[in-house]
Amino acid sequence: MSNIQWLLLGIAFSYLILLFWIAYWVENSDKVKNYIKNSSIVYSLSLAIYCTAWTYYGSIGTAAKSGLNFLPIYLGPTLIMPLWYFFLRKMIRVVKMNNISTIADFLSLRYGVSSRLGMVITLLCILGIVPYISLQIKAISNSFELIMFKNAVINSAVSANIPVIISIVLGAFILLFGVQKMESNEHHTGIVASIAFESILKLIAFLIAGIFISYVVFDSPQEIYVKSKNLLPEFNKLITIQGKSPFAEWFGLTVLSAIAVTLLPRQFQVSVIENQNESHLKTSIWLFPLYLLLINLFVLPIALGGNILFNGLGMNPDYYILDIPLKFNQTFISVIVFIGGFSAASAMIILETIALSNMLSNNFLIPIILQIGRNNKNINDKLANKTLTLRRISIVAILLSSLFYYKILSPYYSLVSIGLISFVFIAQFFPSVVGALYWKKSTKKAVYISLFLGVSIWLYTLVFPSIIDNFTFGKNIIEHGLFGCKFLKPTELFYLSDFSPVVHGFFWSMFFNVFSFILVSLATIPSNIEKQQAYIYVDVFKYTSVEDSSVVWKETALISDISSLLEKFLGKDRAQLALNSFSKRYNIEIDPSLPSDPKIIPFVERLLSKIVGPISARIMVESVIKDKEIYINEMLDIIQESKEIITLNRELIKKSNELEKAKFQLENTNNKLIQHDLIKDDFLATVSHELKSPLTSIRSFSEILNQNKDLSEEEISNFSNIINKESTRITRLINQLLDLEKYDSGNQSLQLSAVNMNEFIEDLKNVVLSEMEEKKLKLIIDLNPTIHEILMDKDKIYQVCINLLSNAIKFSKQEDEICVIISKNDINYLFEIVDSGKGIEKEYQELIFEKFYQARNQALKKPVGSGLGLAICKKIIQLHKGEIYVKKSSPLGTSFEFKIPKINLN
Amino acid sequence: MKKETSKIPLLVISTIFFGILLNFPILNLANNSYFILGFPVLYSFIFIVWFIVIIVSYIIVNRK
Repeated sequence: MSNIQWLLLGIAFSYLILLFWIAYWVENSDKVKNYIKNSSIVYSLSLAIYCTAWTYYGSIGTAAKSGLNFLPIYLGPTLIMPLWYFFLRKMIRVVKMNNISTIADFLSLRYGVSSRLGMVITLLCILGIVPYISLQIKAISNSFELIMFKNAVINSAVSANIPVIISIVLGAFILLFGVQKMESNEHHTGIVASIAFESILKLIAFLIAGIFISYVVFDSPQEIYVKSKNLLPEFNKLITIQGKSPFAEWFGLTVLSAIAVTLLPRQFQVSVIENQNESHLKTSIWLFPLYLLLINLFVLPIALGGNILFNGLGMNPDYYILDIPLKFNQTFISVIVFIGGFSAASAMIILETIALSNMLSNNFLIPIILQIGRNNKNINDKLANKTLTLRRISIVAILLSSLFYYKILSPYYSLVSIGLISFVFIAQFFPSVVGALYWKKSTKKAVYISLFLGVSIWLYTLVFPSIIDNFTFGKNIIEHGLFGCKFLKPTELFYLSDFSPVVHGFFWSMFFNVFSFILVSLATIPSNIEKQQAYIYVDVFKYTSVEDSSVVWKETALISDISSLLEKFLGKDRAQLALNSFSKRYNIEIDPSLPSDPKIIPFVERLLSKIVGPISARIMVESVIKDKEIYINEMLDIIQESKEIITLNRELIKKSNELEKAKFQLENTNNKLIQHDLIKDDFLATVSHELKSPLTSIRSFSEILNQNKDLSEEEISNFSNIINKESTRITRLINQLLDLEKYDSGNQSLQLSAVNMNEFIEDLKNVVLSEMEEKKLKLIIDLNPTIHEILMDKDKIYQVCINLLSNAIKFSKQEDEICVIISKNDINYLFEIVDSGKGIEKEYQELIFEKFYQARNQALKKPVGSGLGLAICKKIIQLHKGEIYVKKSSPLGTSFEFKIPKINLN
Repeated sequence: MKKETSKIPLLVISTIFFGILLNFPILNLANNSYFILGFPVLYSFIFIVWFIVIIVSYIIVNRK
């Protein structure tokens, strides 16, 4: 080999050693590791793994042949970015909560915890993605050969072994840094750092090549366009969107790439599994599209430049970026470009292999081993020792398959065709993934059928024509359709002939996939476990922790069994540590001889799922459990029972409250009755007393009159008057009692009439005149001159006035004045009677309106009267909807006032 | 309230993207062999919009 060949090989290996060193440095330095973990920029750059060798070389090939048609592949991811924050955040939450490590885990766990579905998805992914890995090997190999061929006579032995050497070196890298721990969902921080570094490198290399070609080889991009216009007959086609249905094509490829950037296993690995913080998505929303824009900036100038420089030479346009510097003997730039392409391809190979090998070991090999050895008690022991080995075997198997594919089929495909065919394949999972996250009714049967139809049509419309076209058999089918039916032609299915093969295949596979998924989901009923998983996925943001969403177990296992299961996979110390932390967290004692608390089962399952994936973990846990888990229908029954108990409790509490309330009311009523009883006793005692006093007088004076016949005329007259007065007093008392009873029972009604106030006052004067004259009192009437008539019950108000005036006369001093003031305000007529009595103390001013108050408080004051007058006055005024009260009182006199409303006497 | 405001970037960016980069009548207007300052008009149009959208995304995502 020449010096340049050695140099190139040396640079390539140095570069790989650099990658090794970066990964090693990051993994072994906590400070750097934490920085990488917390860096949203590193996360965003790692997403640029989307730009593989296909982008690096293939975009230029597409642009050179068909112009702008390379752009939708990058516009799709740009378009989907704003939706990512919502879609991917939910996906990340589900993945973290369930220890999911692959897309197969994601779907099989959602659709009934089905290991069989996981196996199907794994096999399909290997079928669809391995060609894509071989594409990267092809790109590295071709670029190697290109540089070597240019600089020296190619060494055929070296050339033939380049792909093998590349695979071995990359395989070693993956085995060293990709399978360090047993946890399959571990964060490969070292690898992510290497990928981010590679992303920067390939961008810089691409920009250097673009600047070199645009500004060194040519004067400016402008010159490239002008020259292209003059020299290239197909120029117009290259700078516009062309084709039979140009915009349908544009749209189809945009949607296809938008789906692929989310679901491709390597993208799932970096964007979901390797995500350390959901907030990193915010940076990726703008940084990733910016990266895509920069890496595409010089694609068209390089493609057109290559077309100008190699016009008619039959060069492969995929490698213009390498050919142009080589043509101008720019070895340094060629090497940089080569390293850029090498890093683009190697990054993809590393990540895609890790993702697929996890899938192969967790979703295919381990479940198969568990199934085969389900009667073997020691199967868990054996598996624990072999988990890492199985993953390493998977890595080797994936790389060997890629090499095999490269050797057998790859020579017949261009970079772009393989890439796009893989894109269409991965899009087949899209309906199932969206259904998993957003539609609780979607079922496992729908996933099987939609995948079967979608993948079948993908094979028939995209893979099959490529194979038979290359191998010269079955051309009849392509030309005349299956069984001679023209509508079944693989490239023009159902006579759809306006689309390119990729968009055609994408359209029909997705058409059948989506519709079958919806229809079958609607027609079938999800199983209990599917329903439960649907709640966990669709309502993932409702759960704050994994425990909330875990399966509830009816029975439990022996702690010794659980401990032994954990020890096999975690080691004795870690297992003990895990059980201790569980014990502390839930305050549950861990005694090996006792059955465990049911809470420990999901805890153990979660620990195991980190190592063997959630599906295999479930199978293992079931092997030590004494009883089966409770599925959603049983949970619903329990919830229903709980609800009924809660409802019953609520009703009991309600009844209890009502009883409490009734008891309180009864107590109140009882107190009132006791009070009324006391009042009644008091009332009877008072009435008895009031009746007894005059009766005693009457009886005494009657006896005197009867027994003493020699009484003088004057004495007889005096005693007769006393008897008469006391009789009148008894009569009045009885009348007042009867009146009061009528007011209390509501039998009294008002006889309203317009009363002339002048006449009313005159009548009053006449009634009280004689009494006043006895005490030589002066009556002063102050009637508001605007008051002529008042609507009221004349007799009753008359009774009130007489009562108040009589009291005033009784309590006034000799030769004093009594005033009656009648006025009004906006609402009421006001009657005020002012005397010059001793006044009423404030505490008694309300009590005097109670029945017999005066009588009951004889010790305080005992003027003449029954003690019922003011009580009756109050009743009369209340009947008028008015108010009576002591307006003011002092030792110099008292003022009573009552008011009756002007209107509203109804 | 927080949930509603978090939808703003989604709506704004989606509108810009779907309204311009996937708006075929607008793309069709630029789908010709003319040049703008020596560059193909459609190519320039797409990249300018692409760049503007990145700036808008950055501003919206990083607003306080």
